[in-house]
Amino acid sequence: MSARRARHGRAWALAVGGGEAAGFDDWGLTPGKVAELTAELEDHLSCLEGDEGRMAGCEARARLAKPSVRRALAAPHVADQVYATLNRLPTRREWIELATLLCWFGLIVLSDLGLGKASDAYQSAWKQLMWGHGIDNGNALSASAGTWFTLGWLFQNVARAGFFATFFMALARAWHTGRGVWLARILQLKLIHTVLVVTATFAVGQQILWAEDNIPRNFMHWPVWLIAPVISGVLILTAAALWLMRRPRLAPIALFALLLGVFLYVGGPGLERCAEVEVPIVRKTVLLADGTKVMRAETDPQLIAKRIAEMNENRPKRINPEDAKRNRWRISSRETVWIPGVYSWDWPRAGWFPLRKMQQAKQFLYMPDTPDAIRQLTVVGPIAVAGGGLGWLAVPIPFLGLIGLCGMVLVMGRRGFGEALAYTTLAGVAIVSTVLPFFFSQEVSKVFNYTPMAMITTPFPGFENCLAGATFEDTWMLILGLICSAAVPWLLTGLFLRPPRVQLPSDESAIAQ
Amino acid sequence: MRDGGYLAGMLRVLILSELSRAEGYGYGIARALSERSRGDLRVRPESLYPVLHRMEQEGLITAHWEQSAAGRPRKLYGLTAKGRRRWERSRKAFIAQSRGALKAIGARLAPGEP
Repeated sequence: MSARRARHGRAWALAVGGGEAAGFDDWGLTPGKVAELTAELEDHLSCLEGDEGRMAGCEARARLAKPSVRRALAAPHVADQVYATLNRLPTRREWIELATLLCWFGLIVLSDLGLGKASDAYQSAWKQLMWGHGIDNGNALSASAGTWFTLGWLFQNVARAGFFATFFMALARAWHTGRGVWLARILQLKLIHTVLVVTATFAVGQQILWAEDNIPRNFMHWPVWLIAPVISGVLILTAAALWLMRRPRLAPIALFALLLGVFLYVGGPGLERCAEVEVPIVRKTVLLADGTKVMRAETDPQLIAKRIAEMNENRPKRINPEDAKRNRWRISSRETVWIPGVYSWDWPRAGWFPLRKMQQAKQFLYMPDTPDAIRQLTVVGPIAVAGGGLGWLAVPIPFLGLIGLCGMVLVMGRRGFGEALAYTTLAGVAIVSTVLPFFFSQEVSKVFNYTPMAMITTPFPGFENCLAGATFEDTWMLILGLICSAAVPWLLTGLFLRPPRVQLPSDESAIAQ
Repeated sequence: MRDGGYLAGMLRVLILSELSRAEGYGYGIARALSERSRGDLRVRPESLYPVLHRMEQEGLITAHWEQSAAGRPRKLYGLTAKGRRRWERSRKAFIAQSRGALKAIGARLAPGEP
């Protein structure tokens, strides 16, 4: 804290009485405003003591020391609060909040890196098992990769929940200090956040770039399947209990528990089973002695050749002449349904093909009475994605930009038509620069991922795609625009909002003393 | 309307009324309002100063600093032309609304009071 700030802090404490509650905290006012208000209140309290006695003065001082009263006194100065907060050194509490956020941020990056390594190990093991050997049930893989993915799942979600709990609490404290402080803190956090996320994604993005195809999923029996719901249930109940206790100090813990419960549940034990099977390309229906119909592979070579020729464009893509001759088609597949509680394991009848391919492949797929699984792999481990941490860290950026800049327009755009127009134009450019990287080269339907998968990866896949593909000039321009837009509020406050002149009769520092 | 908004609106009229008589400082305005209302109105600093500062921002009142007799800096407020026009306009409306409100809730002023 600078000497100037310390003087104002002492002055304010002097005006409203001693004690911790009366100590200097962030009013979000310019030092000049603090000095002015302090001098005015000091005069008021001195007169009150002179007229009504020391007791009345003490009562008034105690009342003025209450946070709600202090907020009421600062309330008319929203624009001043914005200016002062954007153009001052952080308070002690803000430094602590920043340090805490950075710790969570570091843990998120580390967990992303760890999950990247786990993904690599999983991929190489999967390939080895699927294409290197014969039949294997994947137990060896489940022991090693599963452990890494479980640790990654825990650390990544703890870090994400911790980060967002700290983040929301910081904004909540700013809101209680003053609406202008809240607005300015949104803009500050947006700048810090943007720089950190962009830097981290560039630094480690290539190592952790996620892809849904690389996500291991679980295959578990029902007791294990219950792990995520139980953990999440306990956490959410804990959050509810803490919330009901209505103690402000417990609010961050309650929020942390709630977020952690949600994150852990969605990424909790799901399902994956990889298999390579052979199915007949051309089938025939056979009527059994008991009257039931079953599908069998066609054995007549001429009929097989004729049917395959008739398929034309509908032929399976990977079918080769040798397979056609044998009337066997080798397919490898993975389960894609993984959310706990909604999965219906129906293999080997329907459902073991990826659901998104089901419709296209329907006409070729047979339901053989005995599928020939030649290789299959089962992986045990929760669903966690390398890059999911940084992906989620990017989520607040567009929201902070929109709220902060629109709020600034509302607060500062009332000074006159010309200023309001200029300010709105600059703020509009900043808003567009902020949201553009999230939309760039994305299909409109894919800008926002509204599936449960978004909880594990990111709701805005376009942002990571944009940063990961930052090899083109247009992408670099987008990122530059994103960072510049985060600094625009400082430019705007410098241009459009200046601290009010304080007309104190004597030296300001003398009053403060 | 929330009570706070109603009270703040009333306080604005009272401040305009007080400053239409003469310049005044924060505590002086609060004390004068208390005396004129025979102690019924006690304006606390946390209510008074935000309203004063808002009115100053709106250009209804002007302020300057002086040295008090005790040597302390003191901020004196006075009406601007805009504030005076506002006072003339809102005085009649305030009286009519207050009378109407008192009638509506069945309250009666003491005999002899306007």
